[in-house]
Amino acid sequence: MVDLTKGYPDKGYKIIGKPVPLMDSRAKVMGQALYTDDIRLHNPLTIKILRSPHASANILSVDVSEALALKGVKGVLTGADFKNTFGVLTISKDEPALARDVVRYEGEPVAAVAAETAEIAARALDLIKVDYALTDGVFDSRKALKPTEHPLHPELGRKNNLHKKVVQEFGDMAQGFEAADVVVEKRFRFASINHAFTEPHATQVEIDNKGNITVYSATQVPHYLHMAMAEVLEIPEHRIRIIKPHLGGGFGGKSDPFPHEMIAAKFALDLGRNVKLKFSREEVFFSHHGRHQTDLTMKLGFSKDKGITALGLDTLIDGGAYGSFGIVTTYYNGVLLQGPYKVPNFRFHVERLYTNKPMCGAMRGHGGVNPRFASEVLLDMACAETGLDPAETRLKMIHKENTLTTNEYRVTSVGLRNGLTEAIRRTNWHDKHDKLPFGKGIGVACGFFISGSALPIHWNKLPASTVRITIDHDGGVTVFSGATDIGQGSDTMLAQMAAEVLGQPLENVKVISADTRTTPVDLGSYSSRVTFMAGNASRNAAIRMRRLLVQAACELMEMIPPKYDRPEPPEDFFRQGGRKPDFEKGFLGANPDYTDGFIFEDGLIRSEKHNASVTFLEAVEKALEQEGILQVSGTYRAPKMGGKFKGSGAGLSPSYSFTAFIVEVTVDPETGFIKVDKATCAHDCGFPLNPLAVNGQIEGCIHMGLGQALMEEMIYDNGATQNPSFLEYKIPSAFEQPEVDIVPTYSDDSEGPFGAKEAGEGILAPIIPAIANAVYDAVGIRLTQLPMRPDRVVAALEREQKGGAKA
Amino acid sequence: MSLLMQNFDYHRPTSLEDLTVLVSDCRKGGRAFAFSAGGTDIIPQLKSDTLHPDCLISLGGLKDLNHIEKRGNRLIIGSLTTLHDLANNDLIRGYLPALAHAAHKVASPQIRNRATIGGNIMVDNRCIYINQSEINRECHAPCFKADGDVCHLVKSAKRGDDILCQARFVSDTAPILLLLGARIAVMGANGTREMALNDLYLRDGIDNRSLEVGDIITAIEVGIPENDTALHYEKLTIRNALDFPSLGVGVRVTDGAVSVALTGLNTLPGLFHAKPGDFDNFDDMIDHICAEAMDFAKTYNQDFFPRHYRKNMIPVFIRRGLDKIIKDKS
Amino acid sequence: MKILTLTINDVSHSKAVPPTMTLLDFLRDEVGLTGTKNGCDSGECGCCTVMVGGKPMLSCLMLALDAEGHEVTTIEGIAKGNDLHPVQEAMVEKGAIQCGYCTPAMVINGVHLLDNNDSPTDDEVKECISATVCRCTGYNSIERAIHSAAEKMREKQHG
Repeated sequence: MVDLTKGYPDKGYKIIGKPVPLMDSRAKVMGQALYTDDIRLHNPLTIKILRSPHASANILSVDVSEALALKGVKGVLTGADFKNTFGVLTISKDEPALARDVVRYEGEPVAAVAAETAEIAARALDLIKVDYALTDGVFDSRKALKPTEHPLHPELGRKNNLHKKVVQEFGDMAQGFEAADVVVEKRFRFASINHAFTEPHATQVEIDNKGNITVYSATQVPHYLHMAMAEVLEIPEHRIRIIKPHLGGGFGGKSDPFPHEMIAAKFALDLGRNVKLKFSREEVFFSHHGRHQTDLTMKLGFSKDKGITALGLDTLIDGGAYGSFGIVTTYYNGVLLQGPYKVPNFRFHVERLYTNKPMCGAMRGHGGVNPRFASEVLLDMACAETGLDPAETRLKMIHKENTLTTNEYRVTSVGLRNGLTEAIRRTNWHDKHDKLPFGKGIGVACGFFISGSALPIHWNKLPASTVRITIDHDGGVTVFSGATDIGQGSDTMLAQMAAEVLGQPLENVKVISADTRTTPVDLGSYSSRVTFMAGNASRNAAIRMRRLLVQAACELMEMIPPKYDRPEPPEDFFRQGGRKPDFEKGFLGANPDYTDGFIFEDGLIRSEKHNASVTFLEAVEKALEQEGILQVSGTYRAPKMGGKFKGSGAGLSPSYSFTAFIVEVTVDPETGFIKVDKATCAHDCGFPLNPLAVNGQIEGCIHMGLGQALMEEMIYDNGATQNPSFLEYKIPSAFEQPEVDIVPTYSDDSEGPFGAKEAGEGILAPIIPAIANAVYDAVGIRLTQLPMRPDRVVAALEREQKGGAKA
Repeated sequence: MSLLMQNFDYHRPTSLEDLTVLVSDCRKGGRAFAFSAGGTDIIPQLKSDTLHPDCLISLGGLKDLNHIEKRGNRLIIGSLTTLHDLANNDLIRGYLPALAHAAHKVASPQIRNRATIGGNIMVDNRCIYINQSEINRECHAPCFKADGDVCHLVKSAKRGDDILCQARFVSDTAPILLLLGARIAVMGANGTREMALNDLYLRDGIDNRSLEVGDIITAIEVGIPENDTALHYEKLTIRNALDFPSLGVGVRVTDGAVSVALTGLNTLPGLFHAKPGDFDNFDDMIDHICAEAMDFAKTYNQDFFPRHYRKNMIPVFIRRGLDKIIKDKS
Repeated sequence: MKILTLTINDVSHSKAVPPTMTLLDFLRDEVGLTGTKNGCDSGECGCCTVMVGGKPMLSCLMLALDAEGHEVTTIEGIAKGNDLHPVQEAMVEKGAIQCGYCTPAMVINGVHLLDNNDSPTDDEVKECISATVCRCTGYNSIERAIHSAAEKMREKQHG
């Protein structure tokens, strides 16, 4: 049996740091876990959505009379039924629940039917008559920049299809390139890719006799859905309850509020009936929200002694028809290059364009994946040109602990150097790099990612996360959190926090999550924020609970309760962080705030000093005397941070994760097939709370990165989605997944819960350039277009043989 | 929500006699009917509404058509033999290992447990413009195969053309069967007849089989090759699972003579022969057969791989097949 | 409509079904066995895998009426009461479950493999899950789980 804790320091925790199967595994492995579509409401109507077969058209008329007349049809909705548009970002609410006057992409919802059966609903769709006048669409981001009288979104007042443009510059670029020993520049192109979660979108709505609705939906962010739905339906939020059942994968693709959710809720409200809806796989691809198609030119200045001297990029990202998270994506395409190395002179220029294609949004590694590919390939080129070892060079360049980046991010913990050093050793890098026979190669790349966005999407002063913990008279601990378990195991993580602090076995902690009626607000599962933010909130709530129990135990033992140095520790303490945190004094991770002379274990609360104890249950009973319930909340707020310039908030995070990959490949020069033989990963997620879960994230990121690297792409032909199926959208199978070696890598993040940082997203980006760099090592070609399909490899090899290696 | 199929009547005859009666009843009533063996090819067509029969005749009850037997130096394979059974049958593995291998390369384990050899040689031609939902077909304007008026691959095509549709032939098992000179037994309105498998395939992507409506293939007969013969099937797909062949190459070597059969590259399979006496040397012979094969390929951008790449891979895969055969022999 | 009688997880069910109904819809909507998932409805994701006549098949590519006469085993029929099958146990233990949507199909694939092959090779394990999409795990942990279950089953058999 492999010991997954090996290689990590033993901090004396009982539950934290141990490999724990996710709490819901047993239900899932028996088929008992209920996903949205598995719920059986009483006598629901079935909803089907009529979608536009045109990518760009004006809607002249929609005639629903025949559909409405069909027996069994209970309601039909069209664009006219929804006044308010919506969007996940308050600054780009540009999407209607159903198209009004104009359709902007193939598959856009135009009308919807609620009927007694799916068959009737399907027949009714055929009876709806939509009269379209086709218009010229724009399908390419470069063309979208050109002036037009008819932009997709005239409400922006622009004369082209620009959605968002961001330019930021730090330092002196000219000087930076001047100081370089070598300057490398290339144009890179990236296909759009889809999350391809296995569970298609689904929503069911239950309505009570007072007209309140409970929405069961496959969503990563119940809270945003809650707000958006109230606005679109024009009813108070308290009439809406959002519950996220078990969720079959998100990866960012279920983090927007969606038209179908609005449609379902409106039908329930209008008709007073329960309703259900589920997407086909094709509808998932139409709905998309995946990674942006990207056209990026990057220039990197590199000095043998000083490392990167300047980095500049000009990027167009193809946003598709609507905004989604796109403004954030636009920033992330630049700012996430501020790690893992110091970039003293930095400029980025990113423009997001509207086109007549399904919209793009947030996807695992949001905005940072494609520029990371470019920068890591260019860095590899710079090393090759200057004769430096690309792994050792990277090792030297990784950020030091407790530094500010050029754009004023606080980089606190950094544990990657040890990890990469070990990866170099394990892979015998120095025996292989530049030494393997033609066709075999080894490559390295590093990455960097946020542990949660420090600023909320919807500006407010509430904590970023709040967790409530109760203990019942029976001693059962319940954690209530709005955080969304999307399969990554956040419920288990929250329970681990409480169990560790309260000295309880994990089985004694239950988690109720992602239910807007019963759980406090949490901003949901995106931007790798849950471990850091909800985790801290859970831990802090548990610490408060612990203090109540210590107080009660002291009363029972007739002892004077301990005084705590920081009566409200976490929140206020974090605020001290400011822009230059004092890391010396020790934050929570290193110096737990519950070292108060009491030990919670084996069902006892024991005073170390007086050698006395009471049982946990006795203390619970005592603590219940006053209020009859035992309940606390814990919160997390990010410390104040960030520079004083416009857009300084983008990419700000209380902490950052670091990743390195060393990848070994075999390239078949004749067919161009790239086989990834082995991926060695070092990921600094702070202190891993659950190595089993962390390793699962690493292997999953390798799979997804491999897909984007080698085969995944959304193919459009004049706006038509050419491959909206799992047969034609190629997801790697078990045969393509490489052998994986995970190097135990850690830091002790002073602000992360028990020292932890993110482990779900940052891992994905560097695997892709590591593959590309290994391909270069194998056959001497620089691939600049994703996916690195075999035909592109063959073409690049032919160009290389002809002497001009220009891609 | 599931993809819905248009209503049809369902029949599951348990004998060939019942089947004949059913077919004749359908004919008399003017009712369109379709056969379903494993259903793995036809059910997606029913769901995407590219096929809408009045009557679906499930062949799953015809137990008599599920068998593999040796008669003299020939193997008879019942058309309802599943691809899994074919790939794992001792006779097939012993006498026709390349056929077992090709059957094993089809789709996925779950599909091979259900899909039949008859279904695989009958698998409908495919194109990215037809194997789509109705809305997606409409987005491009429905093509000829979708009862429309255009071919998106050959824009100049028009009704009345000799070859209207370029939907490509994708059977994985056909190349090896063709190289073995397989013959099929076909039961139709006028009894059972026998024909060469090669005669089953027609040049048009829509009207792509030479069977009459109501004909069913009952068995496939293959001669066991002599010891001087070796075969191999090599398939190009981006993944090692699920995909139809972007190209598939069967190679046969018999006493120095080489035959090549192709799938995935045209509306029908290709079959080429070359024997040593006609060439100066072995390399010339292979160059010749590669050139013929490349000439035959009518690749369009209707697959994951671009057309030129698929075409250029033909000689690579032919040579690899030969290398494999030579390597296995030595 | 036709009357379909089907034995599912050792229990016989008789229902009137339309010919167009797939086995998947029959299991989920008529019998209420929602453990079998519908991820694509086109035979491309593998999530709807059940055993029909002891072999894994895609229930979305099979008419319910075509299953007549075969025993069907779904994920709900794999554990014996509270006792998980070794494959299930190993899936939990090895962290082979994240979102869990493919899990029922993966279990069926693994159970069938080990029923017929008590010491599968790496390639045989990959093969048996190769057309069932898991987007979370990268498959590595699922393969480890199947190997581990095989080992446990061998130990048990040989005492």
